Amino acid sequence: MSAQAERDFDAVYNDLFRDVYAYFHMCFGEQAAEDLTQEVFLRVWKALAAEKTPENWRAWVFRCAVNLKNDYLRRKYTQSGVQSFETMPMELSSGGTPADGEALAIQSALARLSGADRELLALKGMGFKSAEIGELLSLSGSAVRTRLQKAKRNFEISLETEGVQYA
Amino acid sequence: MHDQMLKKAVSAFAPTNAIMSRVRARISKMQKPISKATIVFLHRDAEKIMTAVFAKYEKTMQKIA
Repeated sequence: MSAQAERDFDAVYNDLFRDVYAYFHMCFGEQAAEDLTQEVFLRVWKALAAEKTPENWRAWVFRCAVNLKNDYLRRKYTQSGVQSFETMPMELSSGGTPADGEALAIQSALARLSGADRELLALKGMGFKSAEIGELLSLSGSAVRTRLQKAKRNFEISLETEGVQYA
Repeated sequence: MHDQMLKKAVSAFAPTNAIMSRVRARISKMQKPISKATIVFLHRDAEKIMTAVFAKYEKTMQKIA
């Protein structure tokens, strides 16, 4: 691989690692987040080695992340009898990620939501627009907006339970 | 809900620098190409040749002894 490709890899890694990790962490928990994020960036590496440079790395990387999430869910359905993403539990941090009191309360509040709600809130929190989220999740823009509204409402209720001020 | 709260939520799930470095190190390990290869070529009379070599070696060792 050329030195330029290595520099490109570092740039993509430094730019997107945190968001990709946070996405998987919010969907599934810490352990799965590390493994799945690693897999995403291995794919970035392979793409660069094959001299493939997408116009928009962020969209490409998140497309990969969503595909890996779907594969992971399929495995979970068969291995551990999880019925759907709606009922998919999120493992809370086991001490690997130091978090302050508020961060822990936010994590607990999100852990009460469905996997699908957590995913939507994660993508929105990373700055994706409804249409972009729709493209990633194969949903229409209006379906994303409706679901997002519901997810935000659920999150607010959950935050109130945790005693977090969100206004 | 203000989007600021969602940003806060995302940052509550962000990795530590240690995680970032650990995954980077794991990826680097996988990126390394195989740097050495051993090619073994077996002559069709390899056994005969090696037997002769060892016989010679044995003889030499006996002479030294």
